Amino acid sequence: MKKYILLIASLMIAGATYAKGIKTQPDSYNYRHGLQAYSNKDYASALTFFEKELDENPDNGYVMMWMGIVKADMKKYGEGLNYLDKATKNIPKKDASMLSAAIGAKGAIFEEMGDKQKAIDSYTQALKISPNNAISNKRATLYIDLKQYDKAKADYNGMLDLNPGETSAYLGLGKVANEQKNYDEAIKQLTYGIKLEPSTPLLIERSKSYEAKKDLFKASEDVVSALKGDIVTAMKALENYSEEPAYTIMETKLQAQRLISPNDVRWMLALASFYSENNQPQKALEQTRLLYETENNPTFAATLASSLNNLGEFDEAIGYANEGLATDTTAHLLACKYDAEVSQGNFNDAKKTATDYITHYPNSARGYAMRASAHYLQKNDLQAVEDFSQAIESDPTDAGNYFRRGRCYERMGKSSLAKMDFEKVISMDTVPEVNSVADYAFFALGQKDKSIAFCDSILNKAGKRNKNLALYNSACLYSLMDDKEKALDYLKQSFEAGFNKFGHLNADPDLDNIRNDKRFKDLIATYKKKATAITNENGEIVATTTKTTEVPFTKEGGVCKVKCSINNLPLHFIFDTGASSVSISNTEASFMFKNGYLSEKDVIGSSQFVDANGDVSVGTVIILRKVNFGGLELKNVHASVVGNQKAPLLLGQSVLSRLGKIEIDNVGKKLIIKQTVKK
Amino acid sequence: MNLLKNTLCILFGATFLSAQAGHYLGKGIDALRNGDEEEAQKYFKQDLQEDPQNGFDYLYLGRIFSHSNENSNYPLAFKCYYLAEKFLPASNKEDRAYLHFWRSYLYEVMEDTTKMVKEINKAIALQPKETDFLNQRAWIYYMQDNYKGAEADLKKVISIDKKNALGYRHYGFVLYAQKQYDQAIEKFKKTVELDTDSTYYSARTGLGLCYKQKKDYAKMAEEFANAIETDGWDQIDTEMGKLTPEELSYMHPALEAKKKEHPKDVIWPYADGICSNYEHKYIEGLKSLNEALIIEDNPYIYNQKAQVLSRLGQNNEALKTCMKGLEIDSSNSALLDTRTMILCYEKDNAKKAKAAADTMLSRAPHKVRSYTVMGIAYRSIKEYDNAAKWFQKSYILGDGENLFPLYARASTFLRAGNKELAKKHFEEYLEKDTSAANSLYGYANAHLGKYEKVRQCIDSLQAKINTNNDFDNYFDIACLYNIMGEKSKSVENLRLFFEKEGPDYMRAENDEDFESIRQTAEFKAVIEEAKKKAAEIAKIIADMNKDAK
Repeated sequence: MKKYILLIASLMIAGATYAKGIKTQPDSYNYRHGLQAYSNKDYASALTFFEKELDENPDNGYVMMWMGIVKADMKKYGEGLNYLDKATKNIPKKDASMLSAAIGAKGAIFEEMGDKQKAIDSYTQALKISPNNAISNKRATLYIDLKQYDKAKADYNGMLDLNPGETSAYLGLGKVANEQKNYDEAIKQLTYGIKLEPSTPLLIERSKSYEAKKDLFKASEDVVSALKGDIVTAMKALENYSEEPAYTIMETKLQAQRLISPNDVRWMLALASFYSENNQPQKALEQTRLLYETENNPTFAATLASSLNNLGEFDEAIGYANEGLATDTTAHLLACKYDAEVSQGNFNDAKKTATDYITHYPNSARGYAMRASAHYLQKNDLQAVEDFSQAIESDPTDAGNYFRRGRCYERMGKSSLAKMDFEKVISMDTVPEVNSVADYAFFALGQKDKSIAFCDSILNKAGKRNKNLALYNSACLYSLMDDKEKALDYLKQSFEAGFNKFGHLNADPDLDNIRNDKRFKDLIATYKKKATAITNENGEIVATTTKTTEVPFTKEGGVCKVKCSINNLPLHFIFDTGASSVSISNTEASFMFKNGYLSEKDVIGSSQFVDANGDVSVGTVIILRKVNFGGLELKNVHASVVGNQKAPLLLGQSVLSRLGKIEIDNVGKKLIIKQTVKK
Repeated sequence: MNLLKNTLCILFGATFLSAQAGHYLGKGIDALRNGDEEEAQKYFKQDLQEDPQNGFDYLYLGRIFSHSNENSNYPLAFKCYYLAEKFLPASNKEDRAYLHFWRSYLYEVMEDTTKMVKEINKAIALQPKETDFLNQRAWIYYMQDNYKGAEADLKKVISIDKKNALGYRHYGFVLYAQKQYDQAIEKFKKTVELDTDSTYYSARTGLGLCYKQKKDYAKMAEEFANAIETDGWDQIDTEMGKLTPEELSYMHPALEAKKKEHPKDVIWPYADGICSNYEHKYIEGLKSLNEALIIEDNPYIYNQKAQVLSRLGQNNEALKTCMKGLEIDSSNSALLDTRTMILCYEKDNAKKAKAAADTMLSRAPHKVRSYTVMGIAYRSIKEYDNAAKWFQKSYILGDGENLFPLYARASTFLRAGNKELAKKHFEEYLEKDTSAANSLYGYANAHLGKYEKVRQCIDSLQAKINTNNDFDNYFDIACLYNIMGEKSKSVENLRLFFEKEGPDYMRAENDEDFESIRQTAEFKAVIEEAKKKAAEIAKIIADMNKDAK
């Protein structure tokens, strides 16, 4: 109901000017704290405060209004409507704006419930009491949905009569014109709005008008301008630039922005997203590496790990995920790490990561779904069912969990339970998307034609980015149908489109019907080799060679000690195969700070990282900009400061694996690092 | 802010203030008078907390949000004006008039002249004798070519306030547009007489334009020189560029007079140098630019000098001059451009040209021209694929408005031996450029073998030479004739180029369009002649350099 809060907020501001001389909202402790709790999204506390207020003032319509809003935000729409009905009877009629707000809130609830006509009726009623642009805007949006364009235009023009600077009205008029394919009119309206305020929504809408008129220069210029604002929203528009000449135009413009603002991460992000969208994982990776180098934070660590996953660089992906996790345990990082582990076939590690996810995000379905999938691939059906059931309880809207639980029941011989789950899938998963499973469900229920039709729809809809996954899923489906020819053909196509999750593929029971086919084995051999090959900027495989670096170590007390330098300070590190993160002793860290080898810029997070003695506090996370050894260099290594550590620096395999494949020669006392490099 | 301060004074005489303003409102207005909009905002907002229906607070907040500075917020400005209109006392005509007047400025930002006029009309209806309103409406009418409407308003302004400099200034332009030059002169002179602070610029430019139309070039020159003094060079540069050689010749005495009056002011020798360059009198131009550089080490002057030296076949000197300018401002994109282009035309300096282009791109990545120059540099080192890519980028980043990169890409494909792609792109170019007056139109048609159209282009270029002394066009004519196989005409026009424009022989030596005649005796003879002339000029310049930087 975030959009609803904006409505109320705007009404409150507007209402403030009308408040004089009218019985106003309460100014009591409970009311104020209720509002405060609501703004902090603490709905339970908000309700408590409002209920107390109502106990003392049982006729206060304003409190009833807020009760209704809070209930609605908790998705308790029926109760919400009840309170709002009461509110409309108890808010003084002279306070037209708040009365209108309460009725408008009802409209917002009806909208959430999907009843557009009732929503419109409520908005109309609200507007009759007190004209308000926020409510007009909501009504107009519904009119557009219902293709009642004249009514929508009337609302937007009415908004402009009230406030000629209302940019949402220009946006609305532009949208209506675009819907009616009157692109010149759309451009005129949107340009007016942009002159007032060049916001992302206006720019994106105008870019659509220009695209429709095939003016790609202007369309792309608008998208680039939009990226300077709300980048997350604007990046979605990059999906429209996958075909030539739009692709080259957008790529050129984004690269130019990168050149103009080389340290502005938004252009790296935009380019990474653009290349990902267009199935250019190498180029995307280049950008995400730069991104992480420029700004070391967990979000970008996850972005980098994700890019590495796309290219099959799973060890490195895990390394960066762990680095990010040392700073902050984000869902995205855990998901990236899990993906890499599953893709490698390390299901036990994947389950540990999923369990971490559950620990940190116990209310989320995703952790349970992740762990369940790992169990499923290991054929631990009982545990898989348990976890899928937990996932379903947390989020009953994800058809995928029902489907996979159904597959488990099938394997366990519980066909009626399986059937129930498959039927549930079909009822829920009605719109073909890349992650859809209805095609499988149809087949499991014996409806082969529907299964094929659904599968075809998914394929037709899949964009460049997801094509490989859609093709892989089709291969799996046809394998289940025992149509080997089609299955192998789709599998080949998926590899051509960039599918590279060989670990997952090896364990995927859906491919069991073709697994022993020679053609299947040949395909895997060919494409696995290609997947690990290095390509140039044109996607062509380049000749490579293996560069081997041998780094001597000494053995002390059973640990491998390697000479290194950290930010040009000669030291040594302990190589710890069991360590997933990097740690540095506080003695060393303090020395480095005091002598200029580290600075405040290298500290992540807390500004209070130095204690009263001038020593670096245990628990601080710092960035080691350069760790050099044996002619090799690791950049921007995150290290946690620990106490009582004998070694100055402890490096784990996951970080070292950034450099390449690591082997330990205990006889020759050397680390052997093998890197695949261009010839 | 002058206008705001003036209007504040008008609006807030002491009695008015005490009657209407809250405690914070007065403080806010004081802050506005002192130019502190941040502070003023705080006071107005505080006042609104005490009195949420105070129209004056909304009025001034609207004004603050209307400015195009860090405070600008046009949607909020509109909202404030809406509320001001709602809450200002109906009887308060003065403030309401200013509300409409200030809102008209918002519509100016929106480029909505219809609504601008509507608002001004409302303002005038409330305060019919307010000259600011009438002047503003008159100017809108002028922009809409509604000269009668404009005149009516301006007559009224002058009748209300005989010392209204702005009114006279606007009137001058309205009369000029109607070719009533004598009356326009009268009005502009009155502006100058009244406007001692030169606030309302371009009255002197207006005078210059009027005298130009009356063919009184001496007075024209005098007034343009005055305009340079009051309005700055940038205002006048465009007008200088439109003068014919005869008209330009009158500028020198006027500029000399200014030089004597202001010997330490760099603008006078600089302007003199530019005028000489416009007349293609490059040695004289060089002298003046050297004088300017003695007064001020200015990268833009170095750039002008470098370009002139290059035209005179003095590439080494030109490059040294560029470097001197870059020592002052290493990011000056004009200098970087000039330097790179000179290197591109030097046979043995192709790698340096590429390095220079890289430097330009790194220092001026926001300039589309940097991408074009990269293309030219790659072409000079014969990396045609890369050249084509950079021309494509340049074309894209210019949003297709600059056609040169489109042409350049096509000719790069031709150079690389890819005739099919070249043909395709020349045709694409010609879809967008249909003007025979453009030399590139001629080149594209020449490479497609459409010689009739090439001759049309040659005729257009010749006409420019005849009317405006645009001697540079001889070079393009020479190239076009050679592409058509008319070698003697080609050589003759090249000779004329060297004679009239300057002995820039390296440009000819390295231009690909002369490849088929480069080894002929006639071509070599013309080049030799140019080299001799360049050597003579080198001696002249050496003498000049004794005094110059």
